[in-house]
Amino acid sequence: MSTADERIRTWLQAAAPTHAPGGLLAASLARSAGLTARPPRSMVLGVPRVWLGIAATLGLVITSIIGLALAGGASRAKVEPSTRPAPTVALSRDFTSFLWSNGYGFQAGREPATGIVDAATVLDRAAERDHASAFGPPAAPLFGTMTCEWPSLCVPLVAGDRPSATPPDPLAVWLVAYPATDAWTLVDAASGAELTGSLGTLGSCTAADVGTNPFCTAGVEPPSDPLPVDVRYALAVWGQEFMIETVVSIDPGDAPTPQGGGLDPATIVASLAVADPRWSAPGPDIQGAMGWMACRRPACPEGVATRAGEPRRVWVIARADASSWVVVDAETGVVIRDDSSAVRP
Amino acid sequence: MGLVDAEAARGGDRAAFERLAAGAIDRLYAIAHLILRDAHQADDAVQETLVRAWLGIGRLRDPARFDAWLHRLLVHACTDQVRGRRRFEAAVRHVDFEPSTPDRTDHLADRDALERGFRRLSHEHRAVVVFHFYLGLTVPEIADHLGVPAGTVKSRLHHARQALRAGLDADGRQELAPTLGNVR
Repeated sequence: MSTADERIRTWLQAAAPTHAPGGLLAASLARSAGLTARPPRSMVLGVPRVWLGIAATLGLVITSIIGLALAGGASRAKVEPSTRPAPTVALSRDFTSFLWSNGYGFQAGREPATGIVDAATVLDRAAERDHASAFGPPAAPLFGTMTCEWPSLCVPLVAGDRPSATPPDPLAVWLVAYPATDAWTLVDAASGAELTGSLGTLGSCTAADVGTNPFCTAGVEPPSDPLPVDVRYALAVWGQEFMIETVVSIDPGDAPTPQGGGLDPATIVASLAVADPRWSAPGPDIQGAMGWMACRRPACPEGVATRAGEPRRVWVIARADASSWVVVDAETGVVIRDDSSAVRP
Repeated sequence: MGLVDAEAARGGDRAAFERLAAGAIDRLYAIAHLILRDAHQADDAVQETLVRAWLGIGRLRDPARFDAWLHRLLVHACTDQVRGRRRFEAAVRHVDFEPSTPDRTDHLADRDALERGFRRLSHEHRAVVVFHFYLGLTVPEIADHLGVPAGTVKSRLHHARQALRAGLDADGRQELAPTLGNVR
């Protein structure tokens, strides 16, 4: 195998998931359980029976097809697709911060039809735990999967009185929010038990958000096309993984607004412009993405990670054409890297 | 055990079919995920595959070819997904994250180049790449699994290799020697 072939093979092996998501087998078998398998072919003297009758039935078949076409359709066994579409929801910064600081990522998705505790049961059990009296009424639970993204950080999760599996495989969970008090809990979808120690606060809700968006991300749109691809490539080549939390368009003339957690991007751009006229001169739109950056190499460049292997909160500020970009520590405003020292694709 | 279960499942043994499904599901999901590059679509494709497998196993001529037959069903199910019969997108978006693997100097550059090149391939070409490089199947085996002529497999594999190698070569022309720059 050539070197290039070996690289392709290595990449595919690394990119392939090791296990199917929990519940997929059960859901698949449940869907097929109600259907009748077609029987084996029957044979006559070694010839499929259907062939022996085909000559006799050919005329009838043709007539039937014409008749059905004229009638406007034929019926066949239908396999119903999966139920609801994935929910569209923006997660609060506090929730994602909590997860990432503990090494986990979260992806919202559609709950399987079987194999898990359903949303109604989750709410009933939340009522039994009497969270509502302390946190107010819960919102409709959101189904998703948690995955250990940073193995050095992932703490084992405890569901009820037993430890749940520590992923590398995705863990199916329900996220239950309590909008009145910005609280939330995580529930193990397989057992319905609350994940111990997960109770936290959303922290960024406004009065206008309560009751409309249980995850309280007012004013922040989910990222659609976060950063210029050249910037992402440069960050990847540099050796860093960059997980995006949000994206905003920045007008340097905007008054700074609190974003919750570190410096706001307008302030950062204003301070950059003092030393570097590229950021004050007219040009393509300036975009910013806040996220977590972690070093994925055995030896991390000094200053990138607060502790070896752990993520650091940063802003990536970039012109839309990637002509200028900079990575800035979100807490201190210190420039970590910029395009002058980066390798361009 | 697989052949015995395939024989039994072909005769209508539900428990045998469930054992076969349990033994294949991780592999099926990995293949679908590689071809479709979307977890939800891969989920749907695997479900469809197993449902169709249960419906059609009574007519499987040779139980020894159960795996090949299952793979063909899976590729058809992936095709259905690509054609957009069921598409869902979550508004919350994360950058894809690799599981921890031993680091190599060129690992991230390779991954980025191959990911981009792979996404530009049609799903038919992706399937051939996955079956050859991930499952380790030969051209005749791939032709059998996909139900296409060997010449078609060769052609798709050649085109896919060229496209992926071109991406690697283009990135290799850049000097991938990151400096510390303004790290403070």
